[in-house]
Amino acid sequence: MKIIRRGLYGLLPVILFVMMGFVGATFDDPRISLIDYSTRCDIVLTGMASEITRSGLLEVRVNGFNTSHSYRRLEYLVEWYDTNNMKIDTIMSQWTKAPAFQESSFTLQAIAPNERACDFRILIRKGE
Amino acid sequence: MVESKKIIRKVVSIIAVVSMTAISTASYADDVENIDMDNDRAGAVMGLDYRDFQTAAGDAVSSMLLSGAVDKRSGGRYVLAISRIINDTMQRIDTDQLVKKIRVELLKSGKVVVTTAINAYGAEDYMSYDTRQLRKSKEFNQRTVAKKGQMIAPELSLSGKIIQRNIRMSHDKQQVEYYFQLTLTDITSGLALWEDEKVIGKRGSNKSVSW
Repeated sequence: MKIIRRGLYGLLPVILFVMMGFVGATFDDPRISLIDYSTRCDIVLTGMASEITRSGLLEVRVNGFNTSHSYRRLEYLVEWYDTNNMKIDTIMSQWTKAPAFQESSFTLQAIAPNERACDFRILIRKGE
Repeated sequence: MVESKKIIRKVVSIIAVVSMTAISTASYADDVENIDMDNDRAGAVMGLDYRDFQTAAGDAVSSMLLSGAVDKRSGGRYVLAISRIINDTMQRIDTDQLVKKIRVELLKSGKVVVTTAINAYGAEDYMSYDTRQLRKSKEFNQRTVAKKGQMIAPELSLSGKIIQRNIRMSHDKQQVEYYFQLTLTDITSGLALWEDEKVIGKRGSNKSVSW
């Protein structure tokens, strides 16, 4: 019994280290939300990049990783906001399908509907 | 006498309750409901529905904006004319279900303005021409009538095709493929500045009809 306890105590730093490494690899931005429980379990967001294109439109790319052993079909919705934080009505704000292959990274991409869009919210959920 | 009145009152109240229940049940009998257009997770249909048009139009505009094809080098907005959008499917589709969404979104983008004075079949809005017939009318203030040479000619043209392919997979299963093909042409040079294709595939029972 004592040997088992000692073994567990010995493993504790390793477990903590692995957990910290896992958390360190994730990316947290309040503008991007995984809205499904099942998606939160399998999908890890690893980064986000945004830039103003030559045409003056805001372009956003979100990188993620599917940690599960099976293919996940995702859907994402991008809402665009202007400088007054008013939501911009556009058909480009619709649920778009995106594949996330098992144990692989994936990228979601969106471009703003016009030059007024300066902020965004991205919702990600499990696809149908 | 008093008892018979009580019985009549009871019967009347029962009839009232029963009839009210019947009316309320009848209003729900057809099981009609409004579609939640923002979060419609109902099953797909073999034909094309509004979600398919939204997807095709949204993807087309995103692709067009990402490509930079509608960025005018000299600044300002391009004038776009809508050319032929051919419906080569087994369904009776008004291609405006697709095109209207695209042109509304392009107009909102501030990069394109659509002319209604000319399209593949003449003018989309004949009023631009009809009001020019007022040039000789004494009833209208001639200063308010459009002068000659005021219309702006289109610089770009949007054309396309919607194609359907039906494939029999087995005795009870079929696959239907829809291709949304769009081209943006520079009218001056005749060169296609942007082209894209969106494929929507559906698989289902042979009993489902796609027309």
